[in-house]
Amino acid sequence: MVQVITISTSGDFIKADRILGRIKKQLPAMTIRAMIKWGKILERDMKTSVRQASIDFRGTSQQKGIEWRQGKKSYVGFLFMRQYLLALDHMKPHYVSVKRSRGALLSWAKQSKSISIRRRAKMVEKRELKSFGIFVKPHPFIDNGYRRSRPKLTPILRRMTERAVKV
Amino acid sequence: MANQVTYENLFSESRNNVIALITTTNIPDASVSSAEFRKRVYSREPDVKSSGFQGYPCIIVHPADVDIEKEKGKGSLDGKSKSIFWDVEVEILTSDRGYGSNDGNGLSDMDTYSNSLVKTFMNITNRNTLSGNSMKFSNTSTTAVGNEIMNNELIYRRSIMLSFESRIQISS
Repeated sequence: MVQVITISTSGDFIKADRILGRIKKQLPAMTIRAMIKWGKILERDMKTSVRQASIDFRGTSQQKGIEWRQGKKSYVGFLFMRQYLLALDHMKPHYVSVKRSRGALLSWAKQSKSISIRRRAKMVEKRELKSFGIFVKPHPFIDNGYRRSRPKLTPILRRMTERAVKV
Repeated sequence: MANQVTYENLFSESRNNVIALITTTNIPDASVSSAEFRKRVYSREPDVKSSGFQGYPCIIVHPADVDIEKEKGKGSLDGKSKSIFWDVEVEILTSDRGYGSNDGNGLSDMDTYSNSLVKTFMNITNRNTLSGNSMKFSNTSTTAVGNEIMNNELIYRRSIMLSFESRIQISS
């Protein structure tokens, strides 16, 4: 994106040079700050999206499970996400076997909304049943979170650029 | 009730001053009569399944984001004053679901709320009030309307980003 900045002084070249110097120094720093600001908004919107999809049984997504990381001098940031959250977003629908050895899955099954799953999970826990199968399907949340935060990037970048060039 | 923003309440009072302008007079609530009260301003995404949720449209006023001027030599000589920048994000959420003639009003509700909010924050009297409380140079920028399906309900969403700045005392 090309932006034209007009600097007008009353013929004072030293002042114009000083203003240009300030813009050259401030603009990269402000762009980095704008990216950090937007990254935090993306992180917040993604966490909200996970919460609304009601998929995070462990609750780790609300802490360090989803995190925006960006170097202090880097224009590029990354949204880090736990592997299991990615799987929950775009796995292929498949059957999973609930066994005693799969602790997290078993504890989820014990609190499931379905009475039948809850009952069978308790039977597995008491060793009355060896295992049982449940059908799982994806719960997309990444697109929703990204769609919410993407439109906010342009106003943030514009505002921070304005602050940088303001002299 | 708007109050002066000082170095002691940079975060709280800046957000309170924004909320103070989101009144039923400035942003009318078409879903209830003027005699009724409906909670519609939240600080985070509302829990739509809770019994306390009183329906759409609703407004989310996110916590204020404060930036303090970092550049050397820009503060006052005694180091007690600096430029402060505030960003407050206001989100509007409306739904297409309603009874009878109120059904399918998501977008028109969104436009009505957006019109009223932008009008309120562009109003010179309101800007002067904010300016008097150390929130000067108010600027409003908006995003496009996005829609999403949430709990089998079509939701419209728009963000209005408010920014303010001022040079205030940052230390006693």
